[in-house]
Amino acid sequence: MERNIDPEEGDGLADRVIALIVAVVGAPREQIQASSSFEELGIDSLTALSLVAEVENAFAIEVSNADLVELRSVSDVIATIRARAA
Amino acid sequence: MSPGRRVAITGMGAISALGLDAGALWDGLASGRTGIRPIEGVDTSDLRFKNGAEVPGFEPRDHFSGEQLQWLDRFSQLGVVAARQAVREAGLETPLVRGERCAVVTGSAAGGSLSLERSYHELFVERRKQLRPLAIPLTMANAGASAVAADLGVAGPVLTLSTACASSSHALGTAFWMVRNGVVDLAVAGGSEAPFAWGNLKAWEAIRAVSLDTCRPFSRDRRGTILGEGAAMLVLEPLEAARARGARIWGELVGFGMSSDAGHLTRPLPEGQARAIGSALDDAGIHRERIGYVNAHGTGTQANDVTEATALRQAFGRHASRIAVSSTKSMHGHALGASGALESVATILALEHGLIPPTTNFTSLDPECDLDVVPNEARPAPIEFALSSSFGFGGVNAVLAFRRAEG
Repeated sequence: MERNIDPEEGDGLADRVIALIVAVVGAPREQIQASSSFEELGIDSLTALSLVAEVENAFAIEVSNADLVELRSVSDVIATIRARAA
Repeated sequence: MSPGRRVAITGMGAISALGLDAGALWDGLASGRTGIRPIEGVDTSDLRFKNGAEVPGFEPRDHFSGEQLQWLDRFSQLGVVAARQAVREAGLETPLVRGERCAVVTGSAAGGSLSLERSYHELFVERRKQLRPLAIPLTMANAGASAVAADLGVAGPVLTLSTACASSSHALGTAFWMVRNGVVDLAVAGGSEAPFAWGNLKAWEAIRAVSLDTCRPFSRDRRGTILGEGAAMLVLEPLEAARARGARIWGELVGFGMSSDAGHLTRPLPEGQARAIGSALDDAGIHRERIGYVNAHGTGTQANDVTEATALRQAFGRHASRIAVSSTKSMHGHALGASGALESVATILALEHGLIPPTTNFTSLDPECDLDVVPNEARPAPIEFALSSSFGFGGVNAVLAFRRAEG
């Protein structure tokens, strides 16, 4: 699941995901990077669940329970969305 | 030993995924048969999970007139029918004599959620200008308790406790203390739940606590719980009074303990659960080594089962390895506010029959839940004392201690 996000991909996906994290977690925008781990952001399992629910609604995708528990970072979320959209 | 009167259970009613009375519940539990099936009452095409533990073949018209049914949400219907069964089994006529000395204490997590949903659908989707006038009395959480009281002629205290998945254990414990302390001379106590409403199921889907296949408590490959519905009601009365009138005594309720985690709403703490177990043992005045069976909360979620196993180790020490621990939710599903009462019936009948119901759907033991979980097949065992545990969202814990009937 670990994967580096290319900022040159330029589709604004990282920004959209970070905006959702700001809304769900309430963390300041400038503290959240694509490379931030959930642990650094204080995202526990239930908060991750809330985040994924927002992601599912925003991107019209489904994330299975098995994939959900593997998410550890912002870049994991972005990679999951890209994989579903591909 | 706590002062006060000994409290006997003289009647039990139960409606569950395993059938329409306590006998059907026990037959299912004793044979390790699961009542978990594809959900029929709700369209599951837009739900991640498709399986539930619905009550099969319950016909409201068999029990109530059309006029009565206008006033009764399904959770109230189930509660009234289970209460009638319990009182009939106790050999009592209705209306109960000296009804002002009787109590009804019920538990429900969600109350009339089906009626609430129907009202919201009329309002938000059908754009009705006016709701039906019975929307409030159908929906309120104590509707079930008051319907039972009216049906049986109970004119003393009538209460509903709503403590999520611990509701009916708190109800039974409260009723037990009322009878023991002489506040009333008879109580009908338990709980009922009818949670198969679309919005409610979507809410359970969102929290991802529900398994996509089945409920496998304490198994390494468990994936969550399975929602159930149903009701169970017990008649509690002073042991001496029950003996004096020649009632059949199914067992005794001997202890009740409760605690709060004072922590997270959904992440349970073993210390809180262990305190409730310890309180129930203290209340019963029995040493922990006399407990031979625990009917576990055992929801089949990752968090619950590990926490509960840890709590049992904390509460029982080395004796934890010698206790049979099973989760009957693997068979009747997780009937939320009704679970504690259904599991109390299971525990009393296990003592009565000398047979421990199994944890069904079990595959392989999770090393973090290293207990004797009685996998898949009921086990004969003469046991005198047993516990039934319920641990609800909100970090609320209720544990009941039961004793096999003497002689």
